[in-house]
Amino acid sequence: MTLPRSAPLAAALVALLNTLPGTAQDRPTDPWLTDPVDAASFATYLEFSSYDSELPFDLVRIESREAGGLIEEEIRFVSTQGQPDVTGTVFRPATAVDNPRGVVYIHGGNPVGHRAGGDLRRMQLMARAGWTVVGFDMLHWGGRDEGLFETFGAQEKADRLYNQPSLYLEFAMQTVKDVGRSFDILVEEYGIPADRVVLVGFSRGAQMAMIAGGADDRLAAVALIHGGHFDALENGHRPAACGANYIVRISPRPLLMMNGENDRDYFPDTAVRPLQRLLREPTQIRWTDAGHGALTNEDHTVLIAWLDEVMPR
Amino acid sequence: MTLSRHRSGLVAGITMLLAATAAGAQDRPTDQWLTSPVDRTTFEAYKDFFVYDSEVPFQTRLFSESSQQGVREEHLSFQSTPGLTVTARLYQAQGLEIGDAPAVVFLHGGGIQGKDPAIFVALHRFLARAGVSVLAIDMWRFGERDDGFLGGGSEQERHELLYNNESVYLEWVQQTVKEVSRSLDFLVEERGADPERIGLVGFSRGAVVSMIAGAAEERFGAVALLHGGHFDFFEDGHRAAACPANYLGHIERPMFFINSETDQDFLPETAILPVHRLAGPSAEVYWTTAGGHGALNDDDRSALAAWLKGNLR
Repeated sequence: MTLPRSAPLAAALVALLNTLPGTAQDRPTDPWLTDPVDAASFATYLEFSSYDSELPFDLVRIESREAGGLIEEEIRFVSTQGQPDVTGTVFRPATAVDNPRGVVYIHGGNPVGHRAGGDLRRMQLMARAGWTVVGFDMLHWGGRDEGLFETFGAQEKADRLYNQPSLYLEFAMQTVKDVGRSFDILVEEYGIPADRVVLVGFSRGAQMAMIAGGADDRLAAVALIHGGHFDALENGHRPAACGANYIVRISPRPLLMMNGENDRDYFPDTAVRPLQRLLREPTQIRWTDAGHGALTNEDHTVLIAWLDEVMPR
Repeated sequence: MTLSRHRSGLVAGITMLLAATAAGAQDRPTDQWLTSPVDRTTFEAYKDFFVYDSEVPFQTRLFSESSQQGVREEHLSFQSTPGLTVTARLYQAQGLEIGDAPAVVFLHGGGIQGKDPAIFVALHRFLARAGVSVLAIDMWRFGERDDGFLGGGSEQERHELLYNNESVYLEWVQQTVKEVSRSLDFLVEERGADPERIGLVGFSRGAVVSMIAGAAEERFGAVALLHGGHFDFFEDGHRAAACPANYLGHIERPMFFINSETDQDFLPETAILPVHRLAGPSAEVYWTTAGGHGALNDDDRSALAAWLKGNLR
């Protein structure tokens, strides 16, 4: 007997039930959320996230179009040997800007990767504010979907990746490398000064951004939007894939955390505030009444203003 | 003009040989870990990166079975980590139940042909006839798993593309260590080997990786390292996490070295003796008189078989 159509619905209902209010206290945690690893252990993580910077990008500019004062360029490039090419999009102002600035953007956990509506909108907003933004697909998503997920449902992502500690660690390390290579692309191919590139991540992308931002200190600032430690269905990861062990290393670079009090994916009390307690200055924290992923125009205005503040034009 | 692959490989080989002849052992690069390995905390952090998903199905495929000269051979493959398949040959004495005898995982030397050159096949059959079952696997990128990554697989290419490409080499080591552990799992779960009587044997490059895998995977009852060392003649650097010196001291199980005082690839003074010192006084060292790098005679093979049987009882 097969349940092809109802199974995803059932899984979604189970996932939803698991995230209902009142369960936050029952959420698993880990020791690093209160006691991150020491410097020696952290240094080993950096070894495993290093990559071959001499590898040619073999950058392919697939399609370029201009609309609304922006140039939008779909690209693909080689990130690391033996991995699928990185697919992404670069948004930049159609007219040249003085003192260019760059953003590496990491999307949330939706099937289409970086080209989900909210992610595209954020990238476009930042580009309209004068930034050159590269958004790329994380491994297993969007243009790099190689079949790990079938439905991209929350439970499936948890079962097949987030709660598979060794696979998730590989994924996290690959994402850190991909962020580094995206940084290199902005600098080497788009002329952004190396000291004027920041990192922005949303939801799962924020979870990865705290790792990449801690690991790669070339990133001048890091913004984490609706991210946290564990999402509602995660139950464990390796220390080298734990955001807590990295987020503490972003300082003294500026960090913005934007979260919603009604987030039912990253529970404020168990997944967000414990991370915030680890932070050192300079940090800006913004809480809104939002549920997970619901960002208002004001939130975006705050993001753009913070970016302008940490990296003036 | 285009040189044929064989001719260009020959030219490269001669060039490297001349370089080898001109340079003395004193000029060989070294690293700080050879005299001062990383501490236990760092070593424990490395181990995190060798963890793999033991629930991944093996998807075993048996390509052929044969028996000759008292040895039963299986040519097979199994899935090691998601999406990667290990090709292997299992050698057992005819009439012997694998669970009633010691078994070893064997890692070949750095030739592009992987596990199948005559010198290895002869050793595998010798050990099998002596009552030690051998699972010889192709390391990633070698033998039946040659995916073109190493170009034509010449000495020069292997060093440029892998051994001296630090981040890529670390990835390769990481994957190989996982596959060594999966090979142990395979022997136990798919072929019925006794988990208390499994050892690890590495030859040349396989010995270098076995120093790492033998420490990371504590289930191996004994580790034999044939013609291995720290840097081979054309290696000039690696990450701390890929340095065998940082692992050897953590093997803490019976260890056996076969080396040659006339080895021109792993030079005794700079690459072999320092490794022996790190292994400690309990490690057994056997100096072969068979010749230079890679040479083994029947006395050497007999000594290895006897040592394995004595330490995997």
